[in-house]
Amino acid sequence: MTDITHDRTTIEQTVRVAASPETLWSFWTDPQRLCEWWGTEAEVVAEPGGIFRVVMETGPVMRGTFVELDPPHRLVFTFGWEHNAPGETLAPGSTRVEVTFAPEADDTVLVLRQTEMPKEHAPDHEKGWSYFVGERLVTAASRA
Amino acid sequence: MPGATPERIDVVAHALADSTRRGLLRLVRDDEMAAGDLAGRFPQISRPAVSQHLRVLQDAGLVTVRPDRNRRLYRARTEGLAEVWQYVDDMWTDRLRRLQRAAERAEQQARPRRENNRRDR
Repeated sequence: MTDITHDRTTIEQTVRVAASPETLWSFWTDPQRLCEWWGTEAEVVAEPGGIFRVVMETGPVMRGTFVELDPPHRLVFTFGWEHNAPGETLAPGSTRVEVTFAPEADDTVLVLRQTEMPKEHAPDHEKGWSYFVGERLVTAASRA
Repeated sequence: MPGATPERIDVVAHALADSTRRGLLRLVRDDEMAAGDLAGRFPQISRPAVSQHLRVLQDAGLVTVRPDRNRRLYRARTEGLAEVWQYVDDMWTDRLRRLQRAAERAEQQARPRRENNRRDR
């Protein structure tokens, strides 16, 4: 379920996994396990304010900061790309990802929501946004 | 930005190189604003100069403008934003599928051990 409009941006995805919330949680906080599905390199300091960095095999580097950790129920972190690559420009600190893990029978339902960072919580938001829109348009222009 | 040329890129880069124009862009990011109200936010700059800055942003495709009675209303163009979100959305679809497979594999391997632990208790 995805809602992408020009004015407001929210991503929401749900996946049902035949595993316990604890197992799923470890795939978000154990660097080795993160490399089984998200990237080739991961840096994790699993505490509020701690760094969360994932290098993807295709080049982009996700850089975030943990905001909330409630194992194995809820995980919140900021999300942005460290490098400016075509189609991937989103400044660190500009968006927020919330992941919840809810047990259902023997499975776990994972819901991921990514939203723009509310302005009041993101000191770098304005800078990030103008940088990102500007770079984005330049990138689009150079590809067209 | 279809039909863009190197000259067009220069136009966008030039438009963003000015702090007043970046300030204007931020103001019209979430809200549509009239030219007069925008000018009021930059008292140190003359009205014609603000109009000129808005013109530069418009020519660069960074804002849209629509007339409303005797006013001109400006708003940031956010198509670029939507594209970036589409990219992130696709990334999650792909990665969550991989996460599902990896976690289910790990769960199957861990299950016998977990049952032993339970018996031990």
